[in-house]
Amino acid sequence: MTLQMDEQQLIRQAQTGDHSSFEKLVRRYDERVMSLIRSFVKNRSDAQDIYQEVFLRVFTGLPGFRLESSFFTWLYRITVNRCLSFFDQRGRREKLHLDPLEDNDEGNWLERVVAQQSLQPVESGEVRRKSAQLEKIWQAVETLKPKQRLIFCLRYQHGLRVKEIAEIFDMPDGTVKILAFRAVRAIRDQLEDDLA
Amino acid sequence: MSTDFRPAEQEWIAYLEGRLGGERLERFEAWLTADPGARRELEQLQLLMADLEDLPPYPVSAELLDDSRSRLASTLRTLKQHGQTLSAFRPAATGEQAPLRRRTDRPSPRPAFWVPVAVAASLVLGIWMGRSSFWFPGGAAREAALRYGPAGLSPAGLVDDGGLSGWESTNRKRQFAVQDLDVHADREVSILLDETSRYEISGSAQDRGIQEYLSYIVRNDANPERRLTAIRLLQQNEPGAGVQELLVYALTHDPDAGVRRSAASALLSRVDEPRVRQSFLKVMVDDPLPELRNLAAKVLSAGERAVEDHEGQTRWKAAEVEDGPGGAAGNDAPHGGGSEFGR
Repeated sequence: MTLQMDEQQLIRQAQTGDHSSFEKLVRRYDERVMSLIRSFVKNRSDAQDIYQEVFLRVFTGLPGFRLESSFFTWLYRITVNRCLSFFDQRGRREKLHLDPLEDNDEGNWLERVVAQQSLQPVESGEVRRKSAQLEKIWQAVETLKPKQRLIFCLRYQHGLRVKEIAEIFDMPDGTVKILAFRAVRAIRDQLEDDLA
Repeated sequence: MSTDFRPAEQEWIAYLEGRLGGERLERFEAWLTADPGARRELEQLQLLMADLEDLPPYPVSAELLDDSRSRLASTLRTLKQHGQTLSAFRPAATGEQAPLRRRTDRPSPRPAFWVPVAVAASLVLGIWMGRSSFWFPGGAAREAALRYGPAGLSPAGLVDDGGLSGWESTNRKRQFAVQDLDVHADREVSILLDETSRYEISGSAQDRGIQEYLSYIVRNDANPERRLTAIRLLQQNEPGAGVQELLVYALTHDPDAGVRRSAASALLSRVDEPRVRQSFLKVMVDDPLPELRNLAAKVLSAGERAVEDHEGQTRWKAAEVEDGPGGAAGNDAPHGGGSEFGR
């Protein structure tokens, strides 16, 4: 059975109210959903609230979900909407938490990831240099406008194609490219001195 | 080559993707050659884009994921328990199929399930209050300090039971149009009625007759501040089922977020009541305000824990939930045991 057929079957069963199938769907995607939320909202409790909202939306909307659409795209769309809605409600009143590397139990995660990617020990100079560079990129990312930031994260962190992002945001491919380019350019402007 | 040339974003993108050709490519490259700043920007963008290929997704700790799954599972169990009624207020189709759905601050008008409940509640409330209110001959509250009223009628006359003609209905609505609600010392209430402020109703907030007007204000007045005041006054004076029903109505129907928030706070101490839990369930699924949806989710899962706690030692505290998203209840979701989503 292909992954897609398996997913369609899970969706059909979940649509009939089968909680176990719904749980499997959640488990299949929730780490990616939470990762996107966390790249947008650093406060754990807020992130959990958005996570809960996203999957409740999925749960209540699932009976009307059309199987010809992509579940993955729909789920990401709900996540993006919830993040933007959170920003509308909260971000305008108080500054979003924008310090990912100070906030949490995941400190030094960049060093760990870079070490894994380059198959070098965390202590090596190259790993430190690269993770420091990525950290600066991260700090710059967090100054982007909400929609730009989400598009950037989907494109570069989650590796989605332009077409997929365009579907999620319901905008033309060209607009996604422009917003992603503006994001990269804004980051470059901030890192100009470091990008020798 | 004019130095005024500045490529559009589309040209930058096309160049970086290797899609720029012909005259446009020549012009772009000539500009790069002539402008060292442009060359530097291009090199930096290319360097940055190469770095971005290695940008990892934000990590999610197993503990955070477990905790989130537990909370979700708990809420879903609550939904399951109310499965019979959930479908009645499920969002139409898949609202999120529409792109970036915009919601207003007004709950969507989907009264299919709530209309009969609200009408029944109105009747119950009317009967409950009517037993002793001032327009009932011999009613115990006849001595309430009501000095003026529109033709001996009461707001109960406005409960739409379909018996009023169009003219009567319009006329009574005009008579009962609230112009002002004042609270003086010792909770002495004064209400100005009629479009021309012809009537003044005044008396103690503890009088049943006044309470009926306050209930009327909660349900019908266009002014959210007056609705809030009326809710507060009713809540202080009458903790009975009638007020609870009114609070449920405000929580699930009021177009103003502040009024719904206030009704939610007032109902926190009654979350063990099935009717109240059901109203929070509706809010959790359907309220346009994320803050209230989150609060309802917390109330329901925390309430469930309180019910499950046979020892009764750790009853859920409303104040914790009132702290909002960062409150203790939010971080206090059950771990592991019994969770459908536990790892």
